[in-house]
This record gives sequence, structure tokens and C-alpha cells, in this order.
Amino acid sequence: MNIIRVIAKQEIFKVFKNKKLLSSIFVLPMVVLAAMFAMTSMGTEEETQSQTYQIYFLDMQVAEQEFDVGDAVLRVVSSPALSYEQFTAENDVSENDMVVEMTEEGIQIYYNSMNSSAEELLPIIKSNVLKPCIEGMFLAEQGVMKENFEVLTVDTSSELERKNRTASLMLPYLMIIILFMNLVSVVGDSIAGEKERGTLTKQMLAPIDNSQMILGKLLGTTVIGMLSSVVFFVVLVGGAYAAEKKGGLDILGIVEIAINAGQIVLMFLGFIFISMVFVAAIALMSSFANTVKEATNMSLVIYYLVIIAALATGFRVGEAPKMAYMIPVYNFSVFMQKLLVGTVDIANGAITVISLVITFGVLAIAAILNFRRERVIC
Amino acid sequence: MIKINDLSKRFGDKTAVKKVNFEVKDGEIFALLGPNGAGKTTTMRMLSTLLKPTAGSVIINNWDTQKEAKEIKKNIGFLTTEIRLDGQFTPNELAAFYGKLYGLDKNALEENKSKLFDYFDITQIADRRYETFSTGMKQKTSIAICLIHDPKTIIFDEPTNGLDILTQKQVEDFLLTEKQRGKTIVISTHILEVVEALADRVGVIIDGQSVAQGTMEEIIKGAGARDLREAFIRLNEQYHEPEEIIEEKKAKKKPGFLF
Repeated sequence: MNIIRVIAKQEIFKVFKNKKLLSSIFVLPMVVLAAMFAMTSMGTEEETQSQTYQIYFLDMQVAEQEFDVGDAVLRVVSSPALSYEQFTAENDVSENDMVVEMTEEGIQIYYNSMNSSAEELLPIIKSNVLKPCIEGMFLAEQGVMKENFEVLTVDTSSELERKNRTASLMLPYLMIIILFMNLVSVVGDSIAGEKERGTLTKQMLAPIDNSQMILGKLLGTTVIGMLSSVVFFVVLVGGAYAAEKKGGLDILGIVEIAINAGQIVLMFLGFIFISMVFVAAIALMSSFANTVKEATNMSLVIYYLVIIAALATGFRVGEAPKMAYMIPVYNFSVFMQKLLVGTVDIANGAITVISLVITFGVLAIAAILNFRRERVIC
Repeated sequence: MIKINDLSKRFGDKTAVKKVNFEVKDGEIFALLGPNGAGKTTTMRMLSTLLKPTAGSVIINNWDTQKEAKEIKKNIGFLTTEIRLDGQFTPNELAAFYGKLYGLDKNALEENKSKLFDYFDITQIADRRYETFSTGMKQKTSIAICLIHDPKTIIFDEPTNGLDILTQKQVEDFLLTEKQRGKTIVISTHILEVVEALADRVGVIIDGQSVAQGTMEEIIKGAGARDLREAFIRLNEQYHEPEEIIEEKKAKKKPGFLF
């Protein structure tokens, strides 16, 4: 353990002695982040995606039916006599779903504005679905049609969700990409770079196991990866706290972020695990390479997978299935998204962590086994 | 004490080293002499545990390189031109790092470091980055770091390559002093002056095969030459002679010689 610590410390020390690497890890991500925010501010119009909306009518006799409205399918569902609170407590109501409740104040539609399509569909639902349904209900029950009925809409999304909406779509993507790019340079240099320069052979001559060496390198580079993410994250979130009175930080007038301490802790933990996975994956690729260039080229394969996983989160609409939390990297991205809007589920968080730890373990073992092979030092 | 028995190494279908045998006693400098690509570096790498032999064995101080690599690593100092130190660190930082890897305590590290740094004139620049040094200073620092754990066996591949005469002399003198301290030393080189200045015994290796072995006088005499240079050229020529002539010579070969 002592040797692993010595090597890890040396790895960290090495990065801090290398000004170019230091700036590429800690400064460049912030520049990239700002540039990406600026670029994404142009043309952020979202497309309505084809999906099904369940409209639950609480304690109201309506015929269950489906309506096609553009790309969306609206499914009317009659539900038992429960209040909105009771209904949502007992049923798994997703972001796509709407609940209609008859109250003393009038008819209330509960919808989630986090789903932009829902907001767009609301007027159509009122005229094409709600009106005929309510008309039918009144006619069936009382034989007369009430002249006017008041429809109130209630946005069920939290203030946090609304504030962090854009951030939740963009930040997981940015965090993942930047963290990965940082780690490619750090881990690639630590393993393939040392092979290329001949410094790794010098270390291999010391009376230590190759596994101790790679574990030390894994540990050191994971710490660097985490530090990098923390610096990046602190700069981002620190601004939000500084502007707390305004209710959040407005980045270039596009993204509002408001994050509490609990979310920061969970994010930090998320970063620890994703850093570990990235480090192990790049270490595995680097263990096959003899130069930094080779390591970077090999890591491109993972890079593309990471981009796909991160982008998939950005374009995801509605609830992520449980299965999504088992897919490494994508689960982190979804977890971060949920965390930002304050709807993270502990069970899903646990699945994410377990999946990432297992992935790290498998990749790290593969890297260690490959590193022990003779050709590494030939 | 180093014993090499029928040491062979193949890379795919190419044989880099073929059944090499030699022995180096304590307090002796053995020089492995051969042209470029003869298999010297591969042999040295097998001695240092960096490469596993395809066949044969290397025993250093009664430890087998394949079974007790860790013990051997503790007791050897291996230097080759392909091995470099991290340029952004200073000699002091490098010594501290490698000292820890070799499990040296603070006192032993300081003692070894000051002795080596003083000898190689590193003390004054011990807080400067290694990458800022001249070729000679880099080589001297590499030697100092390589020997920071005061190993019993020193294995140097081309130790004076690219060095000026003064630095070359300093390195040679150092090796002679270490020899007097009872260290077992193996050097590989293609520079005959280095062999003449240092070696007690010489092994000539061509195309991965040991073609001659003995003291310098024995090598010169055995090859029917006037000096080491001529002996080396003759041995090389003989090695590349037609097979029937080689077989004929093998029948009348002198002890320690392939032909």
C-alpha cells in the first residue's frame, strides 16, 4: 500500500510540475465550458417528440380513449376517487402524465412544465380532450351542459426543476466530455507517455510489482481527475452561490443554476466514481499503447461511446427506465440530470454507483493484467 | 556473482540471443562486446529481469531472474540509454522517489545520495530540473539515481555513449572504484577503448551468439590478432564465413571460442 501511495503521490506531483498539463486540465475546461454555453445559446429550439401522455381524471366518469394530436398520443384514463396528493403518492406519475381533478375552485390540470411538449399540448388538450370529456361527463351525470367551466393549470415541477432545466440538459454532457478529455491527457501520459519516454522502464526496475505500479498510477490519476472536476464544478457552482439572492447564477443569460449542499455532495460522489471508470478505461487502452498518440487514438473508441451516452441524456425526454441506471457513463449522466432538477431517486443512485464500481473493477483488473504482460516492457 | 546458462531469446521467428553462456565473479568487470544489433541489449535486459528468457537461465547472487525477480531488482543497478528519468523532476526529487521505491530509510538515502551526487558533481544542481541538464550531466544523474540503493551488481548498457572524454573518464573511474568495493559489474559496449580501460574479461557476441570469451589477451591471442580491434574484426569475419569453413574451425577451436 505504501508503494502504491508513493507512486500515486508522484503522479499527482508530476501533473502539478507540468504547467502545460496543469492548464489543460484546470483552465481549458472552463474556457471550453464558456464557449460551449455561448454556442449552445444559438438555436436551442426543442423538437416535440412522439410520446404518449396519460391524462388521469380523478373521480370523474370519463370514457377511456386515445387522441392523436400531432406526434403525441393522449390517453384518457379514469381514476378512482382520490385527491391529487393521494393519487400521486400511490401511483407512479411520470413527467409526461397529467392529472385532472375537480375541485371547488374549478377543474385543475396538473402538468409538469419540465416537459416542454406538455406545455405546448396544454391548449390542445383543453379544447380537444378536456372539453369533450367534461361535456360528456356533465351530460351523462346531470343531463345538462354547464355553460362555462373554469380550467386551472397547475405546474407540478418544482422551482429547482424549472431553474435547472437547461442546466440539467447541458451540464451532464459537458461534465462528462470535459472530464474524459482531461483524463485522456493525464492517464495517457502517465502510462503510454512514460513508456514512450523510457521513464516507465526505470520504475519497473524497482523491486515492486507491476500491479502496484499501475494501481499507484490509477490512484494518482483518479485524484487528478477528481480535482479537475471539482475545480471546474466549483467555478460553476460558486457563481450560483454568489448570486444566491438573485435565485441563481445566470450564465450568459441562458442557464440558471441553483444547487444546494446535498446536491453538491452527491455530485461530488458521482464524480469520484465516474472519474474512476474513466481512469481505468483509459489506463486499459494506454496499457496496450506504446506512445501517447497511440493511447489517444485507442481512447477515441471510448470517447465516442462517452459522447453518445452524454448526448443521449441531453436528448432524453421523460422518465429514464431503471435499466438506464445500469449502463455505465449513461447512468452517471442521467443521475446528474436528475440531481440537478432535484428528482434523484436513492435507489437509482445506488444502482448507478454499483454499476460504476463494477465497471471500474473490471476495467482496472483488465488494465493490471495487461500491464503485467511482458510486451509492455519490451 | 552472475551465471548465465544457455540464455536464449526469441521475438516471434527471430532469434535475438542464442544459447549465450558466461559467468562474472564478484569484484570483476565483464564487458559484453559486439556490433550493433548483436543482442547485447537483449542480453542485458534479461539480466535485469526486464525481459523473460525464452530458454536458459540467469542467476545473480544465487537468485534466478525468473523466479526471484524482486530480490534481484533490489540488488542490481541497471542503466541503459533507453531508460530515462522524468525531465520535470530535480535530482533531489528523483532520488527521494526512487529511494522510496527501493525501500531506503532516510539516513541510507541521504548517505548514498550525497556520496553519488558529490562524485558526479550533481550536488550544486540537485534542485534544478533534470531536463535542463547537458547530455553528460543527464547521464551522470541517471547513473547516480540508478545506483541510489547501492546495489551489489551493476549492469550498464553503453554507459559512456555520447559522453565527452572527461565525463567518460569520470564514469570509468567510478566503475573501477565500485569494482574495488567488490561489486559485480557487467557492461555492454561497442567502444573498444571502454573495454580496454575497464574489462577484466570480455565476451564477444555476434548475431546473438557468444563467439569468444576470456581476458583481453586471450581474445586477441585466440583470434590471432595484434590488438582487440583486429581481434574483433577477425571474429566478425570468421562468424560470417561459409558454413564448411566454420565447421572445420570448430573442430580445432580453442577454449572459450566458438571457432
